[in-house]
Amino acid sequence: MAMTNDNKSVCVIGGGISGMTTAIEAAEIGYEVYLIEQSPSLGGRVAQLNQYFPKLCPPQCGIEINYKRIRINPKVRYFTLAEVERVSGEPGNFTVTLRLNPKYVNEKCTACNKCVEVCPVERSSSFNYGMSQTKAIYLPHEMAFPMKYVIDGTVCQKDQCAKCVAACPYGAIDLSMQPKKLDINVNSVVLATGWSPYDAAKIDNLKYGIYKNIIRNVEMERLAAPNGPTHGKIVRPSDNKEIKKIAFVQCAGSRDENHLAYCSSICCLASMKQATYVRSQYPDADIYIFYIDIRATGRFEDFFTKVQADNKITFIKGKVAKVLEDSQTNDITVVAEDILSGKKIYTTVDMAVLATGMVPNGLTAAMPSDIVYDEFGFAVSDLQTPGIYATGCAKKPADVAGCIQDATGTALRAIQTRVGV
Amino acid sequence: MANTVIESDLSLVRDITKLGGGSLKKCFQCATCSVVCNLSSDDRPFPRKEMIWAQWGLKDKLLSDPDVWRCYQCGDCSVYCPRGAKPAEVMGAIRNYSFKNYAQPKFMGTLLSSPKYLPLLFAVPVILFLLVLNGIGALSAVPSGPIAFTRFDNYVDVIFVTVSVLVLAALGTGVLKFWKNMDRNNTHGEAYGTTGIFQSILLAAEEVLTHRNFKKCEANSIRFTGHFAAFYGFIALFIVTSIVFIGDRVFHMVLPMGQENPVKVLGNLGAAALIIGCSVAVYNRTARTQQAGESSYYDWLFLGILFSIGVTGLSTELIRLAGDAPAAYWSYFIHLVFVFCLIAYFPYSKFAHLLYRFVAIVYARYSGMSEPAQAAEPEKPEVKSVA
Repeated sequence: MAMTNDNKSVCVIGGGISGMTTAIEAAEIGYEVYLIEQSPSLGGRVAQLNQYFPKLCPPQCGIEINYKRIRINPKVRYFTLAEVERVSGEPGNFTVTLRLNPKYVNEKCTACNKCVEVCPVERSSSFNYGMSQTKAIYLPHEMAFPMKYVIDGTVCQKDQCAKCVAACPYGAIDLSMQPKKLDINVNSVVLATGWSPYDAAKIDNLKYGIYKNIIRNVEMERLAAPNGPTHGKIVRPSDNKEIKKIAFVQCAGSRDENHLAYCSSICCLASMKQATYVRSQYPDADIYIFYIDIRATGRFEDFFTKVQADNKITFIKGKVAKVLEDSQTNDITVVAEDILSGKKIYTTVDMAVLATGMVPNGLTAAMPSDIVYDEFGFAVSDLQTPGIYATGCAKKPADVAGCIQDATGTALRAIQTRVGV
Repeated sequence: MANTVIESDLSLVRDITKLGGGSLKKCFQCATCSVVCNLSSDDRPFPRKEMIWAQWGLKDKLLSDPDVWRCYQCGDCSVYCPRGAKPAEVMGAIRNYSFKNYAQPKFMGTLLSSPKYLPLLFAVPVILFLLVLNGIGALSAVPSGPIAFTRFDNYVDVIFVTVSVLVLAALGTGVLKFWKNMDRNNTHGEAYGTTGIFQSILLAAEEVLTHRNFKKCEANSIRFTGHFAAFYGFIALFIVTSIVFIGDRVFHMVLPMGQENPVKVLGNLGAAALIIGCSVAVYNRTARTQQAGESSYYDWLFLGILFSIGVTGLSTELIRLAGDAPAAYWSYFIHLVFVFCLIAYFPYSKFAHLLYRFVAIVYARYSGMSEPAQAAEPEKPEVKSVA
C-alpha cells in the first residue's frame, strides 16, 4: 500500500500538543498532513495534565478544540498505534515507512463499554502511570481521540477468551488483526516526538519506587485530575490518607550531571501549580517547596509571586538530598540544608513529590543519520537537515504555550519545503 | 548583620585551585553535599558553606573553621554532587591551604606546597647524614664488626633532637594560632565550655582512636581501612622507637633486640600494618579515583614518605638479618632520610593533619558543636526566602 505525493504534504511524527498544532496549522492552509501517533490516542502528555499553568485551566481547554479541528478537516489523516520505522529521502520527497499496530477494534466501535464489562484480563494503566488498572480492552482515556476502544495485544488472551467479541453489539472487535506496513510520500517531516518523565528510580538517594509516598510530578497531575485514578482527590498512595503536609522536591535529577544535566524549565512552575491543587483541596495543609533556584521567567514571575505570598506555602532554599521513611506510618522525612539559616532541616510530610524533568523521546534509529541531536537527545538543528524539522519538546524542554507557538512556526517552515529547497 | 563587611582574599581561590581544589568554581550551592555527608552535623553542616567561602575568598572563615577538619574526605559529597564540583577534594585543598598558612616559618610552608622544591627537601637530610658519615670516616670504609646501627646514633641524635625541638615549636605556634582563630570566629553558644577542656580532649582522643566518624564513610569506605591500618601501624612504630631510644640512651639496653622480644614483635607488626595501610591507600588513590577523588601533591608526599619509611625500615631489618653490612647501612641511611623528612616537615606537610584535626575535634567538643546525628524536626523556618 502506498500513498502518493501531491507535492503539498507534511508528515508529523507525534500526536501531542505540538504535533497536533503543526498538523492542523499546515492542514488549514491546504496541505495534506499525515499525523502519526504511537499511543492509541492523540493528546500526548498534555492530556494527562490536570491543569495548565499559570492560568490553571484544564487541558480540555486547548486539546478539545484541536481534536475538533482535526475531526472536521479532511486534510489531516491521523494514524494512532502507529510507529515510524524509517524516514528516507530528501526535501520535497521523503518516504516515511509506518508500522500500523493492530487495535483489534475497528471503526464500528461506539465506545459503549460492553466489552470492558466482560473482559477478564487487567493491565496497568500507562495513562495513569501505573496508578490504576484497566481491562485488556480499554478506552485510552475519557477524552480519547479517536473515541474508540483498543485491545492491549500483549495481555489479551485473544481467541482463548474472545468474550468481548461476543459481547460487542456492533461487531467492532476483530482479534485476527495483524500489523500493517504503510509507506507515505511527503515533502517534509516534522519531529514532534515529545518527552517522557525522567526515571526517578535512578536517583537512588530519593527512594522513588522504594518508599510508597514518594511520587513524581507527573503522577501528582494524575492524582489531581478528575479523570485520574482517584477521580481528582489528592491522597497519598500508601493508605489513601488525606494530605496535611506535603513537600515538593525540585530538581529531582535535574541540573545534575549524574542524571539530567539540564534544567527542564517547567518543573518549578509545575510544582507551584501543584501546590495550588493541594491548597484548594486541603486549605489547612502545609506545603514546602525545596529548591536550588526558582526559575519562573517572564510573565511566570507573577504566578511565583502569588504562590509565594500564600502563608501555607513555604519555599526553602536547599536541595533535598536524603529521604527517610517511618516504617510504621509510611510518613516521609525529607532532609535538606536550609541555606539561608545554614542548618539542616528534617521535614516530615505525608507525601513528597519529586519534580522530575523531561527526557526527549528519541526516534534516532528510524531517522536519517544526518539529524543532529545534542548530548541529551534533543534534536538540535534543522538547518543541517533540510526538510526535517523538530518542534516542541523534541527540541527543548518547554511549557505548553511555548510548544504551541513553536509548533505553529514549525508548520510555516514545513509547508515551504519543496524539491531542491 | 546589616553592615557585614566581606573581606575577600582574591588570591585564595588561586591557591586552593593549585593545592587540589580546581573544581571549586563549579559549585552552585544546592547543598546536596551537606545533606549526603554522614559526618556533617545538623547545626553546622558542611561542606556547602566551605565551598562558598572558598569561592568568595573568605580566608578568615576557612582558616578558623573546625568543620574543615571534621571532614574525612569520604567522597560521598563528590559522588552525589550534581556539578562535579568535588567538595571532598576542595575540602582537602582547604586543609592543604591551612598547612601552608599556619606554617612557621612561612618559607617552610611554601617549600612543602609544590613538587619543584622536592629535591631540596630530600637534599637536606642526605647532605646532613653524608656529613655525619664523613665525620666518622664511614664513607671510606664500611665499619667492621657486627652490623650495629647504634654506632651512628650519637651524631644522628643531635640532628633529630634539634629538629624535633624546632618542629614542636612550629607545631605549637601553628596550633595555638588555629585555636585562637576558631575561638575568635565562634559565636559562643550556650554549650560553650560546658564540656571541660580535659574531657573534650578525652572525647576527641576516643573519636580518633576508634575512627568512630571515619567509619561512617560510604562511597570511599576503603579509605577507613587503609587509614586504620596505617594509623595503628604508625602508633606501634612510634612506641617501639620511643622504647628503643629511651632504652638505649638511658638504660643502655642491648641492640638489636632478638626477634622474640615483645618490643620487636610490636615493631614488626607495626611495620606490616603501616605498609598494608599505605598500600591500600595507594591502591585507592590510583585505582578508585571515581570514589576517592584526585589526590593532591600533599597527599602523595605524605603517603610516599610514610610508605617509604615502612618499606625501608623493613628492608633494613631483613638485610641486616641477611648479614650484608654495606647494603644494610645504606638501607638504614635511606630509611633515616625518610624519617627525617617525616619529622622535620611534620608541621608543614599533610602529617600535620594529625594535630590540626585533633585540635579541631577538641574544639568542636569544647565549644559544644553538635555531633552528626538526626535532630528533631525543627519548626517551620522563619525565613521566607526569595529565589
